[in-house]
Amino acid sequence: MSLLTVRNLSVAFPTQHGWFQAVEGIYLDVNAGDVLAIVGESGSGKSVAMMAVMNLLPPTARITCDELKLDGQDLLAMPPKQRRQLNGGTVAMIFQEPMSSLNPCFTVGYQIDETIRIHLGGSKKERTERVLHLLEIVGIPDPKRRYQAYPHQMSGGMSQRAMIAMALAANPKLLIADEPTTALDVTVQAQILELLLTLQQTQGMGLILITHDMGVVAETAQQVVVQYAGQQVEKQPVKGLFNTPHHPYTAALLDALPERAPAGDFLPTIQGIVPGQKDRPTGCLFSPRCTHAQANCHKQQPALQRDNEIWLRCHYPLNLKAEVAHG
Amino acid sequence: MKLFADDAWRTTWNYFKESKGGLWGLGFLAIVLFCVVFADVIAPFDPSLQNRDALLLPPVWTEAGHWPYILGTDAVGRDMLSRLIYGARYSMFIGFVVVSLAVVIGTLLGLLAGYYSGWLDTLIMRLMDVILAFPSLLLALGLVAVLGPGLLNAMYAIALVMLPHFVRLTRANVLSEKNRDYVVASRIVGAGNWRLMFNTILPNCMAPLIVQATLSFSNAILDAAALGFLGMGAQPPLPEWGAMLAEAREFISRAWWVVTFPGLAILLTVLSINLVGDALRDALDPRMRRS
Amino acid sequence: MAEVLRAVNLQQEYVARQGMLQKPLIVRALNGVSFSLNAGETLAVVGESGCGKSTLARSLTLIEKPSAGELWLAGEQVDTAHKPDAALRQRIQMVFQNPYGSLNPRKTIQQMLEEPLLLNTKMSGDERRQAVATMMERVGLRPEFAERYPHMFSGGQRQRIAIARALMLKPQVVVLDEPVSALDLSVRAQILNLLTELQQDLDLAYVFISHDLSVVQRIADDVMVMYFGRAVEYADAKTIFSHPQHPYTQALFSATPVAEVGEKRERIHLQGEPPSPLKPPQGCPFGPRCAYVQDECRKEVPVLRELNHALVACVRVEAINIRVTSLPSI
Repeated sequence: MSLLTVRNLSVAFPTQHGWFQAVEGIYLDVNAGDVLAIVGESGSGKSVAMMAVMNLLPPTARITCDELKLDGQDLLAMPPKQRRQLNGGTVAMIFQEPMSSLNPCFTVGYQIDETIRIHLGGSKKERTERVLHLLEIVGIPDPKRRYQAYPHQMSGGMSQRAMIAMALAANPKLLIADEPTTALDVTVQAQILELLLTLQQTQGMGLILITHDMGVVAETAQQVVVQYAGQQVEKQPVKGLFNTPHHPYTAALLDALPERAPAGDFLPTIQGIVPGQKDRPTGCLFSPRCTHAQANCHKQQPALQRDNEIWLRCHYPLNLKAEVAHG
Repeated sequence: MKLFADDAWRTTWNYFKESKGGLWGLGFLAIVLFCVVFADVIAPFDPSLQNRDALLLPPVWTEAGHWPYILGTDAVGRDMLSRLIYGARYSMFIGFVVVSLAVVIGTLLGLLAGYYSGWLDTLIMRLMDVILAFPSLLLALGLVAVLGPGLLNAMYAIALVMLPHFVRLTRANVLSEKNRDYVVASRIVGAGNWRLMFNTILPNCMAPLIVQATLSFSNAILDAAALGFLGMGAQPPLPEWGAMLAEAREFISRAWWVVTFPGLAILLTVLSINLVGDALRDALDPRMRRS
Repeated sequence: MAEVLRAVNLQQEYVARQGMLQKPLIVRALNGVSFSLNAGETLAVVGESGCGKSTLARSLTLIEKPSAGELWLAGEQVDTAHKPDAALRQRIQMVFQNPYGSLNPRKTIQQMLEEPLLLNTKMSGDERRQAVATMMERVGLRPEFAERYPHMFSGGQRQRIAIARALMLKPQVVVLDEPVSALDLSVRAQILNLLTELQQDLDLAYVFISHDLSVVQRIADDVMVMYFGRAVEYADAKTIFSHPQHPYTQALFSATPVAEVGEKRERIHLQGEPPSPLKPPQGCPFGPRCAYVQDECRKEVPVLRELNHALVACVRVEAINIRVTSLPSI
């Protein structure tokens, strides 16, 4: 059964210059045990989309959605109080900066305990046992001592583990990780990613990983969603994405990676910059920068099309005939 | 030294406009400033002109009122309205001079304390702590008692009492800015300490200082009025609003207008400045957050 | 090729006060780093947080004078005895990591770019304006933007401004502290290309500090891997990427994710975290986390020694490398 179903999610914010469309037309299907990566650069709206699913955006945001179902429950029809209960219970989120995501005034143990208290209940003894157990499975040594530690007494990697423990406390079915390792060293990153995948498998959770690091995507994801300027431009299984990207943006992005670029002094680049609020092009949002753009790309926005596991928003996708030929 | 980008002023004004209170305050202040500049033209009488025939006349809309004494007269027959209009000059003068003194000296001390740290920082901050330990009005009174009563001495005293706020504010900002990359970058290209303090760091600390300055303006007026009320500030016959209140003490019951109007003038001016200061603070702060 | 920068046993100490009653602790952020750099070449300094690479950057540019060691710039010794002066600033400059923090929000581009000229040369106002316009074009910015403020530019453009500022005095060496880490992927390639182009045109020497190995592999001539204030491996890029010898280097390379979908790689699992500089471990600082640690590792701190065309600071390299059969190349 689908854990998370999102159909046509859009988010807009009011600004001095009118409404800013931060997210436009997101379609997602995540099942238990899936690992989905959402990739995009700044301005792609990847964080905003997931915050909208968790209902964590400021009330000024305008969120529209055709369908939003979590674990079979319709989130759109749900009263706010009930929706709040889902956060932490059914779906949990971990953030980029562990040092600033933990409350500096309370001990780590207290914060994890809070989640358990709200969602699972139980006596103080039972809760403490669970907290210690959680600290253990996320790989924090000496859990009894760390229970009493404050966030500033822990390193970045340790804090992130504590956050993961907090997220897992109430046995969520879906875990959303928003750039969980960007602020960490690469060796610590490897440990944390390994931990996330292991836990995801043992707990049977769905995992949505938001990142801008293509290396992380290649090594952890099963499905990949590529977002550009708030829109979903491509969704593919990970192998296909890296070997035969269909959207010109994905292809250009992969080409610009130093490890994939052909030998030589200079790297291939994508001309131009991501459109902001004031310079949104008519037609396809990527068309001003696309090397494969044709006349009608600048006039008409492509709709999101689906073909089995591949979602695509492009008038003239790449590598498609070859894909079709292979069945 | 350009304090803000041009479009920064425009954006600030856009946000400022959203505050109704701020706009009202600004409007009233404009009236006060008008009085300051054009007092000679718009005041019906000379403020120290005494008219024995028109002692303690009530305002013109009452029964016993008499045109052209619109707001009535005081105990020696001076026109209230004219005194109030000229009094605006004193209040604005007080506020401006006091705040200028406090800002300039306070910012300098704060810059030195925050930038150099060490013993200089300790020395300056403990000095400020001593000043803060005294109830402000008491300290001002004490200083005036030593220096002698008079408006100028009162102003020096009030400026001293305000100093710690600016020193602390500047120091806090300097501490948080001085380790930023752009300061290090300026140092690498050869900026010396003074240039770093005044040219590189100071412009980035201005926003909270401006807000504090507007709020201190109103405090200065209040403190000067209080000192004047106690007889230690402006001396008669100066039409300073606080001194006017002092002179009118004995007439509270039988000639309410002699007390009420100066009091109202102080109240409205201070209120306007506070509204402007609040609106300015809101305009300067969330601007960073909004777009 | 002329040698433009040489560091000999650079050390940097900080005093960590532990309250009024206890003796202050000496924290060694840099514990003896030596290297040499020629014009037109790039030395990449690789390491994680706490390894001392930022301290190295500050010592090289003399923001903080090194506590000990020698620093030679274009043949002249400039370390502890010298005060940074105009001549020095025209030899070595720096580009910072954060494009949003390294530009003064209250200054126009014109003011920022002409500041080095104002402080170090006797150029007239017009000459300075011309120099700024020329430099802006050089880094790919329109000169008419000179009167704008930093917040009006994107991250990539700000980094171009930062590079322009570093080049105003025509230095021979530029220290780049993670110059592209904070930028979007598509912008990184642009900035890296710009840096390559400038290096070729102006014969610049780069000290390129980065934790991103894919970038390092592209642009570095030599690579120095740092851990806990020391260099643990120092070799030319080709050698180090094809055959890393120090266990930490191997772990670092192994931990870096690669943008290729293939077989699950054999990962070297690094436990624990880097040691705190307040409590340095006995002997080799990597010992507590090393999979190959033995008693002899704890006896003394290993020094760099020549092995297979590289300098490696490990006493057990020969023993280890016989065991490790194949390591994936990036």
